[in-house]
Amino acid sequence: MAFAVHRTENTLSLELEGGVTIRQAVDLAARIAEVLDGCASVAIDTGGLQEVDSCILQLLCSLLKTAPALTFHQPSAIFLAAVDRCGLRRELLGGVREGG
Amino acid sequence: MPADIMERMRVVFRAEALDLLAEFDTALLTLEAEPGNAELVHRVFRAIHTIKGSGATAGFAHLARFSHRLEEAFDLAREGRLAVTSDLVDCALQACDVIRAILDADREEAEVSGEKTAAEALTRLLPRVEALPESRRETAPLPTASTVRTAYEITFRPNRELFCSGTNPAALLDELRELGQAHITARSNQVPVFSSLDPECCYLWWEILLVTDRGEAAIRDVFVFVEDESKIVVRRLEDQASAVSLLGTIPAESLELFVLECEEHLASVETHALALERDPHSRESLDALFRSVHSIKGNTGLLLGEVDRSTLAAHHPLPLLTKVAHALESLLEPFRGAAQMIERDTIQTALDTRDAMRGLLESLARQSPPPALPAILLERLQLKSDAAAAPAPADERTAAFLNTASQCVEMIGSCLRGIESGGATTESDLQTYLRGLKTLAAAASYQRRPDLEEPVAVQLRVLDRAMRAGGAIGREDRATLSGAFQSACSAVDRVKRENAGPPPERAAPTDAAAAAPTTPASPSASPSTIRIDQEKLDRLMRVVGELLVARGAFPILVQRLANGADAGLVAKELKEAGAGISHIAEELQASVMSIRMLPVKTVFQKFPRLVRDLARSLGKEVQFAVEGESIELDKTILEQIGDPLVHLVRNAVDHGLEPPGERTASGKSPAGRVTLRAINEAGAVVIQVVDDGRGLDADALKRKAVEKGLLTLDAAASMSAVAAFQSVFLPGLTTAQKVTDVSGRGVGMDVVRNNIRNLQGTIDIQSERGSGSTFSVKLPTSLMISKGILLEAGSEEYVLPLGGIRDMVKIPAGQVHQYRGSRMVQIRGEVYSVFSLAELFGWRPRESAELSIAIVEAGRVRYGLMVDRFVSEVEVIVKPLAGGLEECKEFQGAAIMGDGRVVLVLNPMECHRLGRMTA
Repeated sequence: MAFAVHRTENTLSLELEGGVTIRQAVDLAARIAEVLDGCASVAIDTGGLQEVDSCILQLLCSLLKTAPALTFHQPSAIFLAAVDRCGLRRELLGGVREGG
Repeated sequence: MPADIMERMRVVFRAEALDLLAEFDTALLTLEAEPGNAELVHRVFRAIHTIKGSGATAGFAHLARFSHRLEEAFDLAREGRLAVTSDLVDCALQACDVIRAILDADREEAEVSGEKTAAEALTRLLPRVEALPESRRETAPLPTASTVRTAYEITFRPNRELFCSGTNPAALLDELRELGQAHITARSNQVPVFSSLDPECCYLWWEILLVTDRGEAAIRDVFVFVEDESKIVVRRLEDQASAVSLLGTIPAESLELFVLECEEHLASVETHALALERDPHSRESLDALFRSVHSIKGNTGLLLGEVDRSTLAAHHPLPLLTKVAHALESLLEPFRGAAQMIERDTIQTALDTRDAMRGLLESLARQSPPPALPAILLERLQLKSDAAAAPAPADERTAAFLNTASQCVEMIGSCLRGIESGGATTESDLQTYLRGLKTLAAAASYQRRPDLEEPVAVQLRVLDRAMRAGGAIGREDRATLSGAFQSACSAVDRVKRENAGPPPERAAPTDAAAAAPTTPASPSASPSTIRIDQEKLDRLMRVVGELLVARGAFPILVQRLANGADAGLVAKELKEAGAGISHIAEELQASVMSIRMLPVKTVFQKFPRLVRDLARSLGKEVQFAVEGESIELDKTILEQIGDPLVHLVRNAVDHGLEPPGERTASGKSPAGRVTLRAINEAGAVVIQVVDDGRGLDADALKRKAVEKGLLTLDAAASMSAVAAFQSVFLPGLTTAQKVTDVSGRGVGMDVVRNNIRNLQGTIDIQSERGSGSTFSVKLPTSLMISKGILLEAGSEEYVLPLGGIRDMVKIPAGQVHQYRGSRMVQIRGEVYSVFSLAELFGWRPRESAELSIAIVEAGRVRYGLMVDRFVSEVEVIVKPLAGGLEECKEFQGAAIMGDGRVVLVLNPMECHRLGRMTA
């Protein structure tokens, strides 16, 4: 399972695990869209992430624009390296507190 | 990656690689003549770099491995470290052949013929690099790389399909990092909100500041696979010394972190200044405000400590930031130790300083000239104006922006006035408005003016909605457009004010335009695939759309008939609808036909290499010219005409042209000339192979034909020179004195003629002893659809292609005369032999006092074809005969008529042959 999406009350929790790339982009977007409506916040856990590409990072940028509040929990070193590799630190993490 | 996608990628790559190899060949041949042409060397490098890189992506690992050495050689050549010699060109040409063979091979990993030799030849060349004497290096002076570091700003805006094309933008960014110190910032302003996101589309774009000693060419090479589909702007930064010093010294992460932290401190400055405004006594707010300013000053100082300050320009934003932060700190300091309440003016100064620092930070991050600080602020901060005032940046970039923006504002204003007046808005007006907005949006983005980008985006959204709604713009939308337009005007005015000094009268071309990647020459299509002009495809789509609309009429008419409507009336409407469909079908046919048409260049481009190699192997000097490359022929014909042309060109070089000594002795230039030419001629295309060699010897041809028993002595004696030339097409006949590995065995020309006949073409020879020969191949532009005359002969119907018909007459039977068993007729002063089509096929012709005769032209032959009746002109799709019928050469194929009948299509040339045999 590359990703898991849960909704608890007004919070959408997204866990990214293993490799999440363009191959999963459509499924991931569809799953998030199912539960995103009405969410006050999105919490993203990238602790178990092994590989992520620019397509998925872009998806997170879109999520960041849409969700009223978005937090990254336990950003893995791999995730941060991917963000830096794509030059997305400002866009993706600039205005977001890294939690946890 | 799924196997089907991978296979599609392989097919596309194969086609593209073959195109690139053809260009590669041409470039190499030119390079051989112009070894100092740096642009060509670069072109060759890019071609092989693309083949290697795309090949690896498409799974051609073997090909990528083999190409690597070739790429390495031309990489060295473009850096001036490997001389461009004929050895290198030879090696590269051999390598091209190997790459073609790898592409054609059934198993990609299998070693192909010549691979080892080519690889060894390349290896032998490469180690000699270091040993090259200085004098030889000068033959290819290619100063593309240097040891001087230069700072560039790169904007990379990929197209939306980037992800789906298999390109990983992160890999491109990695390649940039390998070139030097890269400061990479992704921009997500184009990424939509989640509900509008297509997750596989690429909306991100990138801005990169790069300090490198590799030159602009190396930067462009990084984007070589994506440059056609992306917008890539490479710009040399204006303040080189400062940019190289700062960007080349400070690690990208440190600079980014500094900017992010400063932004946070600036946000804090704003928050606490506003809090102080509400509660001027708040010690906490004052302290927090002070701490933030102090942190900015401190961080800036730390950063400055890492840079050689003497390399920074006088008005560089970094020292300015320190000065301004220090001045604000000094202004706030007195209020901290005393019970003195902070004044409203001081809070305003803090807020204004915060804005100024933000501007400086932005210009630092983008390495753009800093904005001018307002004089009043400098005064309040007690800073000398010359210490902080930025130089007037009325540079070319801004001047170009203002010039473009002003024109757009004028254009948009004019459209908007029309819309505001409430009059009818045409689609053309909206398109003009849209064009103006798009240009303005690009200019705003280029000048980095978010204050302009936003109102332009608002207008674009309204206009987009209006156009989708058929051009209707409601009152509310009109108000939105006006408001946004005013904001845009204000933003442009602000830029004008900020950049005091009038822009140049005529804007210089912008850097962006100058640095834009040059559009490569339209690549030719490969025979196995067709690349279609967007325009042609658009036309096809439009016609298909019309067809769908027209189709809608029929169910309605059927319904009306079922409801008992007047049958006569419905019949009339049906006729009209049918006429509409017929018109659309014609357009559809024309559209599809135009898609099948490709320039003859796709075939011609392999000949320069062929002639070069031939000339070398034969020890001849040949000047080869190609003319009429853009003339188009049907794809099927192009696929099949290559081999016959190869025979003709080989013969021209081998037998047509004399050796240099012989040419000089006969007063000719030692270099022979061969021209491959395409000409449009009355609905057909003529391809000529012309040489200025020795010409055909009619007498020798006759002698040979008699010797081989192909001709009787009498027939040879009465034969004209022109007729004797035709004997070169007889199987087994050659006048070549010796057989070479190129030609001269007497096989080939008969095959050439047969191939051309199969394409419904003809071949004609003109030759003059001592002056040269011209072989003219006349081909129909298309095989698929032919116009013809439907005719009757002996109770059967046939189609005679219109292209071969010169005349059609009805004459009294008495005007046809018999002479030595042949029928003859004189029509419009010319005498023709006449054959009865019915008799040719064993039918009995209809008895009639009046005869219908078509004067048919086939190659150099004209004759009369007597038929029972001309029925009508028809347009047919000719399908090749199969199941043994293909042996019936007198028919080109068969056509299915509108009522389902199958009618045979005549081959005029073969009918003539059959007529002569039966006469």
